[in-house]
Amino acid sequence: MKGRKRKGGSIAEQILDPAILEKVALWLDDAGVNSVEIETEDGRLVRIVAGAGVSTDDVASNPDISVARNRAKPVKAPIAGHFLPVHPARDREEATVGAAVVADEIIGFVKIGPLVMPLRVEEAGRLEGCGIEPGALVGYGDTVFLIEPAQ
Amino acid sequence: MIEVLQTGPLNTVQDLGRFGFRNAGVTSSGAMDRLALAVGNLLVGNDEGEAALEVQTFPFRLRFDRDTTVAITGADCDARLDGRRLPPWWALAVSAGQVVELATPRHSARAYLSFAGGIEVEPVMGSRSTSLRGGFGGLDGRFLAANDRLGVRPAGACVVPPGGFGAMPPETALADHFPASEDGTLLVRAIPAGEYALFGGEAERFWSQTWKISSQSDRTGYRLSGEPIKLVSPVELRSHGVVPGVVQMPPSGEAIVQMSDANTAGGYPKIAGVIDIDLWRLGQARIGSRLRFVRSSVAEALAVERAVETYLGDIRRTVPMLAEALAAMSRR
Repeated sequence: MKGRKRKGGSIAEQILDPAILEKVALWLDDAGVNSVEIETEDGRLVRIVAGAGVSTDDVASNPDISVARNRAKPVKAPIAGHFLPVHPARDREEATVGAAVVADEIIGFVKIGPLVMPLRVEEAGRLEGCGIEPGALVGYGDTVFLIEPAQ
Repeated sequence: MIEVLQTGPLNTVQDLGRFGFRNAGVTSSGAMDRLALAVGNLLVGNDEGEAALEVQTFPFRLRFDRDTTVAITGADCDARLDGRRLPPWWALAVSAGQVVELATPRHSARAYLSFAGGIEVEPVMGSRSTSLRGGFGGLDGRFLAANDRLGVRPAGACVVPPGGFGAMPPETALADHFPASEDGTLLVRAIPAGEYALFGGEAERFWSQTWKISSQSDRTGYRLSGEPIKLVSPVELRSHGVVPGVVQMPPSGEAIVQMSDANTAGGYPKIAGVIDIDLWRLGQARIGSRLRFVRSSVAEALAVERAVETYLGDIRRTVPMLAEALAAMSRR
């Protein structure tokens, strides 16, 4: 979810505002959703988890919400297709979990019909993980890899 | 313009070949891996037969004098643009001053560099291919040397995503149509040729044994090492026409497969003909590697040709669709 920039601090600060957290928790509960991941403008992920005890009655007074902040930056699918961690003409991954990666490095692929699109690192860091199974279908914008930015 | 910074011998300008002059002794020439050439051209928005660089000796380095789009197909040469690794079978936008470098491939033999618009050299008899034996075509009829500068013909707008994009390699996309052996021996399909019967029972060994591509192999032909296959009785043949793919059996009994720079005529008995659509795989086979001939049929050869045409057609259709989809998404 990308939001328009509003007055009163960054998106990240606004999301961490208790009043907004309560609202989000209500939305989650109404939608029957346990958690939501929000990507802020600087690319960070904020994961808001509504606890099991949340009910519409007491959420306003006692929001049971935990917020985990993750500095990791996503590498997203540039197009819908099948995720290929290994180039079909090669026998190993372009980068393994834990490896240092540099900006613009290609660390995986999305196959669309007879063509192959790159999954590219935007900012140097360390490959933290990959949440997609090899060959699985990914949608445009889906997070495939997470990169822990270099200090 | 592009400038060759470093090259080994025998790297040439090639397109799909020069046809219609074999009766005058003009070899067809053309890329040894015509499929890689075609895919490279399609990725940069060209017709599949535009002239490109065939690189078979390494390392090879090239500098771009202006912004363009380039595709690197065929052998995986661990290609690098200004030191940054590129995937194989890849096309991308490059800027003036950038340098692309190809290292010796570990598996296949030849890489192709295709440029949006194609290499600008004067066509000779309808082709830009270099005929090394004839000394014409390509760049002054010779192989490339350091400091050579080649023009690139003007191209229309070519939309390439940031970081580039690639094609599924034919080995993967067409795996059902190009069988692989368990031990890595290349399987080359062939059909018995005119003098096949003259080898009697010996001919069976042509199919059953594993042949090794000898060091006496080049773009003209591959000389194969193996247990010799002899005629039942000696024959004198009149010279006759020869085309790429013809497998001749000289008196030594070790087969010669005619390749892209094939002689136009010969007098050795022909034991078989490699099906045309398998020649690209042979073009990627390295000296010292092993192959086995598999008996094929015209029907099978035509079926594989149709599959390859479908693969190329898919790429031809999908490249502009991808460009449109990316443009639409970037507007969101």
